[in-house]
Amino acid sequence: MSDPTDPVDQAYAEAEAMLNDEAARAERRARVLAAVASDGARSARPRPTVWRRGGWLAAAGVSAAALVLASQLYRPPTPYPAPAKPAAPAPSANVAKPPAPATAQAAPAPSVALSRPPISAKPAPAPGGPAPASDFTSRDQALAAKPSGAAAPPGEPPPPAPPAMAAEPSTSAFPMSEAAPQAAAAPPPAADEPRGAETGSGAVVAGLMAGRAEKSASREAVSDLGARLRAAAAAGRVSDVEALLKAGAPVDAADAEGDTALMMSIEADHPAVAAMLVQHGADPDQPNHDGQSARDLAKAVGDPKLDAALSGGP
Amino acid sequence: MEADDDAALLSAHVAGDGQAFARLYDRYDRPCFLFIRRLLGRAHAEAAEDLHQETWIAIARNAAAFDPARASFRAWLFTVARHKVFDHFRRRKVTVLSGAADEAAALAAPDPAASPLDAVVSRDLAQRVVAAVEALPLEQRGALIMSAQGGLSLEEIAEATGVAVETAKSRLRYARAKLRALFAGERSVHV
Repeated sequence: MSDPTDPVDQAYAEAEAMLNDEAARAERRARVLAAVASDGARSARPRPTVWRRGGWLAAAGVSAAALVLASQLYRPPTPYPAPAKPAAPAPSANVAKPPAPATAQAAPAPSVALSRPPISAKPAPAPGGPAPASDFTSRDQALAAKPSGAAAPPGEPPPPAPPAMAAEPSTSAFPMSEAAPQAAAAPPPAADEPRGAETGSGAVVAGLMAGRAEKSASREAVSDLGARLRAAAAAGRVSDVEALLKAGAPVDAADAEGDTALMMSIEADHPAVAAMLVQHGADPDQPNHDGQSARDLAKAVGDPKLDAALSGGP
Repeated sequence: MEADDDAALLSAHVAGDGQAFARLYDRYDRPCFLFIRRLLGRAHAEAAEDLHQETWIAIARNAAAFDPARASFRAWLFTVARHKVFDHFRRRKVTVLSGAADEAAALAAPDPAASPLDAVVSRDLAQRVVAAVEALPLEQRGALIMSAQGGLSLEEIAEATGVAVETAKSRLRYARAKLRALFAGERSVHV
């Protein structure tokens, strides 16, 4: 318990009483109670329907934007035409049979391609030279050249599917979010995997969501470890502090006031904990929001063991 | 028990008793306002009235969610008030600095048996005591006001500030030691 009869507390209370302004207090009372009543009446009124639906509208908007983005990124796994052989006159028999893709051997680029110039600043091919194969880009060509699961030759077993994310042991202290099972069902393709292996825009969205969920869970876990480390340090639980540090707790993580685990161990006079934190890299000069560092606090507490701990001693 | 009364008054307010909230306000108006005003210091004194009003509006709005089993009403009230002050500092991009006084020197100073702190006898001295309180580091200042004005226990101060009881205790101890050191030996002058 704090001591309300402490002479300092009493003197301060007397000082405030002496400076008290009853008129100002009465005025303040009337204003605050009126504001509270007015606010209560406002919040008791039913809110317009549009606001109640605001959350759903926002969610629908975000979903639509995500779908548009995914549809822009996604390209269906269409069978690629054979790459054009530049400057080689195509035999007439071959040209006639399969419907040739929008390629023109040794011919000027079609008007469609001319009306939409390529994004790159490459000059248009000279008439008579090798024409670009319509919108069939060189990247797509490279991708098409890579074997994919769908393009595996018959008789060979398909390549093993990438392991599902949910099957991997999670290092996070938190359970995976609801987005994670979706990711397990449709894992995002690896960076070097061809686009044709994607199963649809849903896979792209699920992949994005899974990535975000993992990052968020990871941030929360680190923050939680920091809070637990501060609590253990304040309570002087050496073994807990050691275990948390081994688990990856950020040693200099600060709370809302900027106080770190080291500061809390100093304030509570736990030199063993302070020494352990310093040995794990805690910064004794990091200031809190009051501008005080762990060294300042140790000076105030006045325990020589704390000074030794901050100096890296036993 | 006062704490039970507080919770009962808040429940009555939630149930629609128009006078219950006013009674609760009257009980804690002064400590709450002084807490906000002194934490703000002179530089931000003009914001005290607004933050005090915002605090009580927040209390009224969230009264239904208050759980007396988790914390006392006054610990909750000072928690809300403290957040209002820190939000204000954050909006104004204020960096809260520690007081200039050396904490070690404050603790090393003798505890005067008789000092003006035993009895504040003049308005001038009262102003100096209050000014000395306003010069304390923010968290020490808050702990002292919660104890002296709000009558909060160490556990309640720790609850309101989100720290361990030991931390709250040391903050209170430093604050008192500094004030004692500042006013040591002044009794013969003023009394």
